[in-house]
Amino acid sequence: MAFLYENEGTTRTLLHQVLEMHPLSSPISTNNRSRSCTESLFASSDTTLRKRKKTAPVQPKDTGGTDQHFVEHYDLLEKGTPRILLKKILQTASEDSVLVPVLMNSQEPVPVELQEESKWNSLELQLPEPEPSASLAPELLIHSRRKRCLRVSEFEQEVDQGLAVSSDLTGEKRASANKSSMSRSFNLTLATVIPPESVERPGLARRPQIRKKVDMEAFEHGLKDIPLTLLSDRCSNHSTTPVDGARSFQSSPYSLRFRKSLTKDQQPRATTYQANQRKKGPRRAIKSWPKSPLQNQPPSANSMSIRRQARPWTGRPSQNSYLSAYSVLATSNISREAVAKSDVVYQGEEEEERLMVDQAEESEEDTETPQRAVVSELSMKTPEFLQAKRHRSFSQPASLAPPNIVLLPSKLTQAKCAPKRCATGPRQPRDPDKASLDHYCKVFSYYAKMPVEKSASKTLVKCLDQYFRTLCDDLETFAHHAGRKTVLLDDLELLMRRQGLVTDEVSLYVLVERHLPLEYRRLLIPCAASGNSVFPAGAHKAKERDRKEKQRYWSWLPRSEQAPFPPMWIWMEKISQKRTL
Amino acid sequence: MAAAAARVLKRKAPRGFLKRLIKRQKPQLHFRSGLDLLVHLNCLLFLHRLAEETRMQAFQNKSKIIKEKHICSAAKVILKKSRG
Repeated sequence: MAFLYENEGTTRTLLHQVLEMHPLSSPISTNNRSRSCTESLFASSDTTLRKRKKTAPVQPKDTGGTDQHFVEHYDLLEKGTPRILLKKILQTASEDSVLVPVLMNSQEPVPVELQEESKWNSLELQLPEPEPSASLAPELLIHSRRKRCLRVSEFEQEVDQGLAVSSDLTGEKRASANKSSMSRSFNLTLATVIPPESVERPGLARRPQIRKKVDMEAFEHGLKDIPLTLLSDRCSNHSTTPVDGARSFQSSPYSLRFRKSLTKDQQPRATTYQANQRKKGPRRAIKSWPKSPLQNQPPSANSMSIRRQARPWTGRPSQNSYLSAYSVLATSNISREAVAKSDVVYQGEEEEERLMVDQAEESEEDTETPQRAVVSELSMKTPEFLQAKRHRSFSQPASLAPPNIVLLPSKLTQAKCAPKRCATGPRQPRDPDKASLDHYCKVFSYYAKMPVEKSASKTLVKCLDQYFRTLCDDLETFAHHAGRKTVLLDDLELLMRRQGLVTDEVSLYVLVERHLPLEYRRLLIPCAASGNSVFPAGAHKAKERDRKEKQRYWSWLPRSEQAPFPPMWIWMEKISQKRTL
Repeated sequence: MAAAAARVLKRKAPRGFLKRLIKRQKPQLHFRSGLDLLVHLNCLLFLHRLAEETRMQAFQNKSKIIKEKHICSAAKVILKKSRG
């Protein structure tokens, strides 16, 4: 491609002409205008331009590349703003591209490109023009900083090159002052235009990576801690979706499998056995400990571990619960204080290996679908299992550990594969649970003033679950006894009274003040506020207020006529006004 | 200890978590807006009592660290107490 380069004078005149034309905001028109401009101003000599250029990039390459770029950019010209155009220019910047005089054959693609280039040139040159008219000094100060920032990236260098070229082109023929100002302004304006994008891009590029890392770690962490709550929840809520069960089921295997990948190299073998064993878990919940079913599992596990990676995430919480149950038992059995998950996995693997030795290994390969069916079955069975486990956990944690460990691994590995694909999906529902449970664990450790074991925190979560269950039952009983379907503050106060927390000496509000932060105190304790209103208003107080409101509304009527109720909408309006105080 | 206290006390009550928990167990129940805070208060007090009991159990066993068995045995007592 032959570039046509303009002389200094022609460039300058072109610039002036472009300036005289319409504003920058309409690229299309400027394009047309610039075309006409460049037509008139066309003058070229390759040799002269090359002489001018001090930097010596590979011109043919640049031209080829820039041509393509310019073709692409041509569309941008139609739609993009000058800023985008400049950006594109800088991306493809080369000495050649900066100044491209134009052959005004709009029909040919090459001239079009050239025209684009020239237009960009005109735009580029155009942009700095108004800037210098403004005060240069502050711009210099600002832009110098930005220029320094710009130095970093590649296209900044390109910009510099472009600028150098333009400055070369413009400066040689002009007075040095003009050239410097032009180039400076040019540099400055370009700097102003570019930095946001350049700065933004590295940040944007980096973010996804960070997210990925957090996902895995947080996921692992979450898998470990949550289950117990979900365990109890699963127990109580048969009616809730089986998906939940499946979810928890999957999460625990997932975490276990993940662990294994981190800890051990014998991943396939371990995961397979784990999967098999865990798969058998729910069936075993009924307290039969057949070893033969396990034998059926190992082959499936072999394929399962590999295939499950691709399995979509169906549900985590239930698996999580399994994992937690498994981990609790494992840790209680072996009582390690290292990082819980790795410990769990390690112990699970040990158990599994032992079992593996006992059992014969088969190399069947189950498909994923039967496993999924199994998973759904298992999820349905989880409540029983969980219930049984929960009841027994308090009494015989140790005895339960080995069978449960055997049971859980298979399911856990199954679930592990599935969640891995959708790691970000279920993360949000699980995290708040885990966060709040952690919160309560911390509260406990703070109150106890003694170090708490990690295994102990599992027990703590179980205790909390049990406590919540009884709490809900009690509240429901109280509300039902009062003939209400809504639980009120009075119910809770009654509960605390029965618990012995609230006595005649210690009232509820005292406890509120003692333990809750200020914002909550304000919400809970009715305080007198201005305007004859109480905040927050209790239910009974609201009723009273409404009644009084009704009376007041009709007070202008003689007493005999006060009986009829005001129209509903008026009354509701007034009530809402009062309530919003 | 002060840092731990600050961390514990300045934390917000997990209201959404509590609401979700109770809704899961008793979907037919409606709740007042301030109730989950009181439930949280209840939790805190329960944990307080549990921690006290667990600490006593640990002292009885002459161990400096709270172990699971301490919590289990303490929980049996406290849960019975909190039954209402």
